[in-house]
Amino acid sequence: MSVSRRPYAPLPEFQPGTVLPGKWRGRQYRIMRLVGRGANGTVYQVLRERALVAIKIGENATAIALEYERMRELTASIGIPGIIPELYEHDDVEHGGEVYPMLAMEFIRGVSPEEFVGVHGRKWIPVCLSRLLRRLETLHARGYAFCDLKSANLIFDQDTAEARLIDFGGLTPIGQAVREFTELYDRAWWGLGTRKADPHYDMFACALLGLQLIAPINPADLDRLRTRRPAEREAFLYRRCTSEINDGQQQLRAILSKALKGQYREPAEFRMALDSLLVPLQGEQRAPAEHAGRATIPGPDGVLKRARQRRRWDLTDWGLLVAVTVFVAVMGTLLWLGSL
Amino acid sequence: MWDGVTLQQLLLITDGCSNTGTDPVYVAQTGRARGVTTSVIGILDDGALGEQGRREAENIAEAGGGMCRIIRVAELSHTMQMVTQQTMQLTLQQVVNKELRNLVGQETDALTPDTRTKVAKFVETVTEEADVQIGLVVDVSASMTTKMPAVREAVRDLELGLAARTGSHQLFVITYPGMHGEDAVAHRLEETRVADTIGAMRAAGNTPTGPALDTAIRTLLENREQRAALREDRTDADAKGLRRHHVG
Repeated sequence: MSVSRRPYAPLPEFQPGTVLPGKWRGRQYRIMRLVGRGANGTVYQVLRERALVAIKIGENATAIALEYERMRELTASIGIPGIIPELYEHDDVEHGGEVYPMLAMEFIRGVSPEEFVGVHGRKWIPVCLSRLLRRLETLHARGYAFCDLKSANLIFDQDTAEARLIDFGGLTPIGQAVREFTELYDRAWWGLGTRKADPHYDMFACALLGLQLIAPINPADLDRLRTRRPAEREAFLYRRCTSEINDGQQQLRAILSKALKGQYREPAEFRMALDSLLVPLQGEQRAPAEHAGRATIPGPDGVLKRARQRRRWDLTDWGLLVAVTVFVAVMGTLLWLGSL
Repeated sequence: MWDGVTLQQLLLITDGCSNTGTDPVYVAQTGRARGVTTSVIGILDDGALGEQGRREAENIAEAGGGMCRIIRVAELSHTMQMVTQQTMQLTLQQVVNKELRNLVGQETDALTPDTRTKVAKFVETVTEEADVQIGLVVDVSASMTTKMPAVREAVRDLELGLAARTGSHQLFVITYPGMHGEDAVAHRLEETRVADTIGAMRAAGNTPTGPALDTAIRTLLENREQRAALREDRTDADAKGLRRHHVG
């Protein structure tokens, strides 16, 4: 019996500029930068056929193959783009005599949920969660749960507040055991249910994300909880949901607490509760941090106020007017010269 | 072929190096020869793992056909979960590879990505549905004392993860050294009591990793025989029942 080969070759970190040739499809991938480490491997931004895409390189060929297959099936089943990152190819890349399994997909631009809320303000938390739930509902309707839902696997478009899920390594058919999870977002770890993939599992993680966005749990507290029984973890979590913390987020916290306890029957009910928090804020000033002229975000306060306010005539508009006038004059002159 | 598949694996959790009894690397090799995979988790925090312990951990895992992870105690829970699951996958993958070598002279890694995907889906289904028997071999020597609460919660967590699967599971805990001077003690533990029992373990003295692994392998193999005997009994009874039915 030969035991010479280690199960999985340890994964090196590829430096920017490295060109990785694909073994089966002949494409080349030039590493631009490391994006992050996901469940099944490391994600890089690369140049592929003169376009920027994301590739995930793993150690475990089975895991990468499975992630690709699940994403492919789900993409085919959903039929519309923009929910799952667009999938390109599944291949092996060669480097230094070793072969690593890889999958190439769309590179999604945007900011982390923390950054988004940091820029736009806490009143956006229910909007973000509501959008995220909509995404999750689409997956659930196709028989899958996302499972490894956490801040790092979520990206928001800075301008449209659109939520994009980015790491599908945890995607699991509903009813099976969850394979990839992060303790902080794991229902079973907090003693609040099983570790079976179902819509409630995702709802729990979503609610926990909400709590994290209001105020993150101290890592030292988490370390301490690792040596405590699930009942103590549960009590800790409930203490963080109480309405006694007076920070203006009591209403949101009450909704999140209901979701953590599994009191919403389905994600849509949770989403509607969140949406009920979105009332027009009359007379309140828009936060100066929001970029003024570019407001394309249909949000809790944006649309109504914009309808009432007339835009000021600024320098850009004058510039445009002059440019258009000059252009018309020149074209007119040319036309006149031509007709001579 | 895959009906009633039982995967048997050992998971050794230690923060030191063996210092008495048979060579654990040899024992892991014998286990592998009889279908029991051995993986190792080495814990770094203020232990006596060192370079020697780290090398031993890697060698045990290699001989045992499993994985080796050297981690901080905070990562224990997640690592145990991951190692258990990936070892199952790995074991199945090795069986499939052997079949593939016989059939087409290739291993999965040499297949085209499309074909590999089919193999992966198959492996994944069996991973979810196979019956598993896991022997946790836990070092409870003095330096582990402060880590026992974390080990207790990690075991509880592993049980939660296993319970979510479709296939059945059995968990054995083998602690070493024993509290009364024995090399190792095996506990067949039911459900959530596993964790609480293990949390109460305290011991000092030597680190007989080899004999502990040996006890663990024997425990799993005995159990396999018992289960096989039980299944035969049942088939016998069925056969008799069938015959009676025909006679009657």
